[in-house]
Amino acid sequence: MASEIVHPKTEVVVVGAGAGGGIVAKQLAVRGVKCILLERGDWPIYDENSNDELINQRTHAIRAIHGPDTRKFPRAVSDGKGGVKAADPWWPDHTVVAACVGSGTVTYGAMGWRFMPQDFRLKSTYGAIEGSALEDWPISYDDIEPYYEQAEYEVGVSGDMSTNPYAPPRKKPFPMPAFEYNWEDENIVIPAIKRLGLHPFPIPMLRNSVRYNGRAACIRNHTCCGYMCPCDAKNGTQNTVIPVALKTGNCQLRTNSFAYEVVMEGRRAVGVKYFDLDKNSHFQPADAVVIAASATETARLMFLSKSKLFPDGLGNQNDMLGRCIHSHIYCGAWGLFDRDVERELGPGATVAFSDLNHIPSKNIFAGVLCSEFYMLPWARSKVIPPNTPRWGIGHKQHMIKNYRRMIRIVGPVQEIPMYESRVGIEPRLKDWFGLPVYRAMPGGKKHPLSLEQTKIMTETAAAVLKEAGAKTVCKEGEKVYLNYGSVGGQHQAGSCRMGNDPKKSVVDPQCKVWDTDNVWIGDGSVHVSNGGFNPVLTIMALAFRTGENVAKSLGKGGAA
Amino acid sequence: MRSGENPAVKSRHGGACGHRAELVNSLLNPGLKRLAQCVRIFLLKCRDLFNCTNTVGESIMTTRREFIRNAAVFSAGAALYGCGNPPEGPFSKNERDCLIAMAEQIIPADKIYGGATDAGVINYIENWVTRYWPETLPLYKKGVESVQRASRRMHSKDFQDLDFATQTRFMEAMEGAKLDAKDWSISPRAFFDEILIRSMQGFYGSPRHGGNKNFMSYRMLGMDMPVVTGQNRYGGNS
Ligand SMILES: Cc1cc2nc3c(=O)[nH]c(=O)nc-3n(C[C@H](O)[C@H](O)[C@H](O)COP(=O)(O)OP(=O)(O)OC[C@H]3O[C@@H](n4cnc5c(N)ncnc54)[C@H](O)[C@@H]3O)c2cc1C
Repeated sequence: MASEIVHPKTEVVVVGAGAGGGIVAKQLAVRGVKCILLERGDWPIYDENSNDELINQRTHAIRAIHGPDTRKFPRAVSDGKGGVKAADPWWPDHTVVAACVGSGTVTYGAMGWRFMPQDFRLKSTYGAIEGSALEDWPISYDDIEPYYEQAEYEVGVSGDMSTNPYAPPRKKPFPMPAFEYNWEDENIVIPAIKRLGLHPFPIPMLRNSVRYNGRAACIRNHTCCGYMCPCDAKNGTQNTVIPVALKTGNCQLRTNSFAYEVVMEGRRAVGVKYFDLDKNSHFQPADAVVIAASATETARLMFLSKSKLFPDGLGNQNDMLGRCIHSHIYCGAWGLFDRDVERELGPGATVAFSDLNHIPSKNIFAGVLCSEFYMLPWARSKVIPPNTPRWGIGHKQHMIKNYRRMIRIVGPVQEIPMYESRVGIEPRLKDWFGLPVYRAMPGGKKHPLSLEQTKIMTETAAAVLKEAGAKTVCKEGEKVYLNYGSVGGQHQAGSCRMGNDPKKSVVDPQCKVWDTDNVWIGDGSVHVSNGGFNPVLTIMALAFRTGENVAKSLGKGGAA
Repeated sequence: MRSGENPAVKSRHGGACGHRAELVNSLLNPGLKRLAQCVRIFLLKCRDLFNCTNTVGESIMTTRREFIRNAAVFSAGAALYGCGNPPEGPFSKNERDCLIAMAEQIIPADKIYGGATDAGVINYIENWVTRYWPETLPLYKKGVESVQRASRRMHSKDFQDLDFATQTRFMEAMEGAKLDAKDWSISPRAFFDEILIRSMQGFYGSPRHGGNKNFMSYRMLGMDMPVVTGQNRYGGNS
């Protein structure tokens, strides 16, 4: 390795150009703060991925096209004999968000949910829950509301909550009208939801229902969730805020740059060390550092950043770093109909109902249930109704006959964070740069109440499908999804939780790491709990807020 | 390393593909632009075939060095596909025939639609054990060896030479782990599951990985061919 390359000083280094990091960089840049955005991956390229079910970011049967390269960047799991081994490098053992500019926001399903006001104060709503690390957030829905709005407008959300009686309060309407329902949702699913007394509404989507921000409207591709958009109608940070940041001239994006240490001098970070693709080490000095490398990798980078004041890892002075990592248990059901029901308009997932989100009297705080994204043939070949063979001519006939006869309803369960669920680093297994890897806990530790909520959700999904006339209903809740993925799947969050009490949290309510003067966290790591909804809009909203806080700390606050 | 690039979508493509095209163009005179275009497309195909992904973010061929490496792969590819003699594959003929027969059991041909053999599932499996996840090759070697050992002992024939119904019963026994353990150096159930998942991927997945020849399964399901639109072709950006 050549000697270290030292760069001229900048004001802020942001690590990770994903959902959170891209937004923080934009907030800084438009306020005149010079910043450098480090991203371990590269710009995503549409041609790499087009319509290929085996390498997309959702199923990664062979690999995940937008990274990371799981061979070079393995994760450690227990080998059951007291040692460790590399997790199987493909789904479902190795769930990752992505490693490219935009990260998951390039290929996500793009559901853009606000959490509900109760989601920020679960403990006061439900009381302390035994055996859990449940806490209220140190900020309220009202604190975050303006930033939700900013995320909806600057990134772009299509939606309409007028038929959702549980919709969280909002000041401004959505910037774009909601997507219309797909035929099968409108004609089969919605009437059933209504007959059960539940309240269907269109899913808010970070996707253009009309031309917006200079980009085209959605063309209803099949291959959307897990894929980059062919007409750039899906809004991620790579095609919204990051270009804005770069245009100011204040932000420089360095791709293929893998941060491996936040260099500390006492309470102050003085810069970030990173590797380029040739394994050269670089040092980028800065006045402040924002880490936004996603919940697993942010915690890993902080464990790797040991200093005199933080000998066990940056932010780990109270043994809280990496704890309470969680995501969502996904659950739901398939319905098999006796006639063709699906008309194959992409990308699916048009309707939702959130009646199960917060019924304090019944201790239900499950999550939202949605119709599912369009699935391609291989994914469907794995859905086996009862009395259907897994293989052979019977399976093939089932595929031919039932391909358009299936409807799936699924959703994320609000998981109860557990103190014992923790990101660790594993010195016995090294990545391509020779750094200890992330140690995964398969399935993590689940609270019994999380499992109960899973059951409630699964039963509800099944009831809707039955009501809709499905002849066979397969519940897939517990069985399929409980243990999939090491903790820290695509909805990973909570590993550096925010709090008022430094003993019980990693960052303060402004998202600055406790006991530091200038280290901030700008991604899903800071979530105290992850809501009953897909998390990205909340990550984005917090990043808008944190970006503002960082600028203020450098004396460049105020509106942009 | 490309740093701080202009993010406009078009130049993003200029970044990766354009760079390559530029190089190719500089090598060829302008009259051969069309040829250069073909080369570019062929390179992309070769990259798919050889799965050349070796950078941090799995991003591909963005540097000159990588271009040269891939060009080498390209010429290897050209040689490989040009000379007519298939290269030595990962499996012997006997192993290959056994795997073909097993995959055909998973997705058999019927009167109307082809099965795993017609769809070229074996090509997908060969890609899997050579280009994608070579670390799984020993599993296949041991698996086939065990299948043949069991088949010969039970029926005095190799698996692929059994009649279809006998093969089916054999596979069922594998799936149910109801075979005599002494023939097996790995778990029959684990090997069965491996064949099952790979056959399904090869038959129902994207053709670019060797299986699903001519979108056979998509046609079977009456699915629209995937729309082939791209950001750089669709013109949705302005
Ligand atoms: C297929 C798919 C579908 C999804 N659908 C939805 C959905 O419908 N709704 C929803 O709300 N959410 C969805 N998500 C989840 C969503 O994308 C994530 O929640 C979100 O991107 C997480 O944001 P983050 O900022 O915490 O991390 P990320 O967005 O992952 O950003 C982290 C970035 O940091 C980079 N990085 C990591 N380590 C380093 C390092 N050491 N040095 C430099 N850079 C580094 C990574 O490459 C990445 O770009 C989906 C995700 C996927 C993959």
